Amino acid sequence: MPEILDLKYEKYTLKNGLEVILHKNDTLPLVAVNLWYKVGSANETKGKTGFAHLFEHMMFQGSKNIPKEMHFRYIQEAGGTLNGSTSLDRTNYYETVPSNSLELALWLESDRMGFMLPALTEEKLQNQKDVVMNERRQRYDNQPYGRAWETIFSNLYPKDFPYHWPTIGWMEDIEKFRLEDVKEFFGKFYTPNNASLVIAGNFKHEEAEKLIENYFSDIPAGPEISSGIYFKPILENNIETVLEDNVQLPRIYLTWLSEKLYGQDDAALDILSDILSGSKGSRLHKLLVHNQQIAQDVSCYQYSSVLSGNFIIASTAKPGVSLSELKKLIFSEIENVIKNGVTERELERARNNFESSFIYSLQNIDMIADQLNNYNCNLGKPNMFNHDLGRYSQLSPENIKEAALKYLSNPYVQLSVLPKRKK
Amino acid sequence: MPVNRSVKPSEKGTVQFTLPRIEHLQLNNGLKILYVHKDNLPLLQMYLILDSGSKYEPNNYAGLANLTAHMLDEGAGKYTALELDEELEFLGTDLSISVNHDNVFISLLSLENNAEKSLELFSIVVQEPSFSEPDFQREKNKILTKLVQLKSEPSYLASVNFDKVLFGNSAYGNPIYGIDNNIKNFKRTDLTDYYCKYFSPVNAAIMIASSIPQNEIIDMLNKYLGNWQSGKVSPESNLPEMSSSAGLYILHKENAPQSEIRIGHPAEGRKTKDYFAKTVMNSILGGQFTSRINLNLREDKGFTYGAHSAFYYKQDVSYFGVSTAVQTENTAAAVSEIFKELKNITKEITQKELDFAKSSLIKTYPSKFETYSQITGNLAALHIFGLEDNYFENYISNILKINLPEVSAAAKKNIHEEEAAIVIVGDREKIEAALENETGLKAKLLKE
Repeated sequence: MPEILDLKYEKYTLKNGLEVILHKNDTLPLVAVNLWYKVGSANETKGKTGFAHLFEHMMFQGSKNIPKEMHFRYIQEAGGTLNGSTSLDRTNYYETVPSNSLELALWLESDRMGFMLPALTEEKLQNQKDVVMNERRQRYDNQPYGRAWETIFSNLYPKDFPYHWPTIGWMEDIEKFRLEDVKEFFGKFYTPNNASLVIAGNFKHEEAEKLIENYFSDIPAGPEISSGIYFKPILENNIETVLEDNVQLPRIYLTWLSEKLYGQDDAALDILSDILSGSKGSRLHKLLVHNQQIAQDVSCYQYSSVLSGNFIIASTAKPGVSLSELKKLIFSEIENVIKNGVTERELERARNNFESSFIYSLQNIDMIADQLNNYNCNLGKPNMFNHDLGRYSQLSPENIKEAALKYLSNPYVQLSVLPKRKK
Repeated sequence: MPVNRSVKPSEKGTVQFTLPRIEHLQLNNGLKILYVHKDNLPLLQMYLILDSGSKYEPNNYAGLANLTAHMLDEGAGKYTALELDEELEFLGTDLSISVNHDNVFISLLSLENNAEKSLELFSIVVQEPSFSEPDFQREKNKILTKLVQLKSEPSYLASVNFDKVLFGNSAYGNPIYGIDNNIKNFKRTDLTDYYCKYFSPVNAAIMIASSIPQNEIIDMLNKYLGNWQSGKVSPESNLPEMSSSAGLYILHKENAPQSEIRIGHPAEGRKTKDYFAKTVMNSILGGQFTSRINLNLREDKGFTYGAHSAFYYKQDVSYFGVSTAVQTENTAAAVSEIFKELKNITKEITQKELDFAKSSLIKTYPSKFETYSQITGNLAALHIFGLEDNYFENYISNILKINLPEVSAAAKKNIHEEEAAIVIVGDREKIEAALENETGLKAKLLKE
């Protein structure tokens, strides 16, 4: 196991439940502050989708002591960079600042954790609602194949399963956001006991501890959050659906329910996706794009989250090629893997790739901070780099074959995205 | 003890930051190397930069540079395309090729342990590409299909049409990916000719950031690239004749929920004296989230997810451009607001804005040297624009000394709203009348 992946850290919990992780790295005079709230679109309900993502916007609109726009201004003026992102299960907020501005970052993060509501106004909500609707138009509605994933997920998961809707939310729900609902959502989920704070980079340990104590310890804990109880989703039969879109070429998406994040078969399915489509010489790429040349591209993902995972294969047809032709060959290759397995060399190639990309990812202090938080929130311990990599190194070709059989012989959702017919 | 939250915390002391030391080296065949030693991780990051971008394409060969470059790793030396890929993947090495109007970039990222084997493969790709007929046909077909797909990408269409409007029928006006009717006529020998003419060590330089010590990396490079032979050429590019491109141009997309907007005009090149004043000025106007254009269009009006402006520098041409995507019904209003901002920046800039922009640019500087690829990217800028080595050392003091008269002068000299071209990709039926009304211009229609 590579020693450079053994990252030193200290972890402790404040009285209000906020988990704190400190990791020192003095390569540059920078410090990354990374805060995960364990709330994502899976914590929303039908008719009120898009709240977690909305907060990714509202959290930059100022809080009790920070006027609108000043969150961005203060960080940029200090020479920092900042952003946030939303997934099904978590939202992260992060900034990297010169090491002499750590206190500024903690001040800003703590103010919006503890003192957000007094500054949350109808006017700000209406403005960011417009921005989010434009984000949706730009990234989904006016983007070729942009609505594919939400169409797949809403077919794959039943209406009451919280992965049924997209993280950005449905347009008709975004239009209806109400201030009191938004405030209630904030009060419930944006609490110290539902968050994990990582400080990584160049800082003085005792100073950082003291600043964290000063800025975060007086924020009261919120209500305990009971995680909902969901039955493991099951797809009884194949679902075939068609979406007409502003695209030039048809694309097929095949999606199976698969293993959840860090579950027993998650790593085997990651490897399988790499063997099927991770490189030019991967099986599906070689077959469809290189040899037969009936597809423009093919890609696979083991997209795994806290409650469930999905294995997705997507391929775009060359002009004049039918999607059924692609589908036939994709299934013949899946059959081949299920029947004959993969080679030791294919497995090793995929493993080497995972290992080197792990090391490449350590170049950014903000990526290190985010990964520490990921491990802390999902595996209970921050320094799980080597454990994570170990999941891949312990696999045998037999494990990959078994995973393919276990998941890819089940019913699936088939989405065909077709060019809109000309009027 | 609880803190007083109503007061913004101040900075604690000053930050110490040492710029990486740049070494100028040379291989046995004269190939130039810019090297930075960096050893917090065991990595080799390298760019080979060739003066063989699309501006050197002959007339009616738009796309030749891109296709030639992308053929390099589709089979080389004794390896087929798939064998080459297999070798690189097995090492966990990333080799990637990209092309712009000026240059071809071949980049390599490898673990230190695998550096020698990776360099050997890299050298084969650079020196012995096969250009076999079947590989050529497959890749040609792939790029033609890609061009079909791009007809549905609004932001791509807006950007290439903006280039076309600004730089006309010169090579800078052509898309990097090329033009389908040109590409269809390419023969394999067109690519090998282009390769022989422009892919040569006299047209090349290497940028490195690595944990491998200087003498070791030079030995390895001499072994694998030191005998690379030089075709003696001085590249000639196909430069634009500048004429006024002002006007309103629309590319129609039926039922588009948004309009992609590009507004701008040609600008002075990278090495003008007021480069730093321009940089600070654009940071105030549209270079950051909190710049005027984004605050107006996004945070005030809610028209868009984001809007920004920049000076885009190439070796022989440069331009200023504002880009955004707005919901269809606000297209004309958004254009009007952008023009207001272009006019306003030439009238007044406040000391507060200037101080903010300078602070941000100066203090963010150390973070531009964080990753291995950021460092090779910075070295590439030195090489491509012929900047002095002390450019990085002097950057902060150059920004620091910009004063209000200079930044205001930079706005007046470099922002010309009356000369701006407006390119819109959107639903013509819903936006044309309002746009013509707003701008007083007659719309010219662009073809796909």
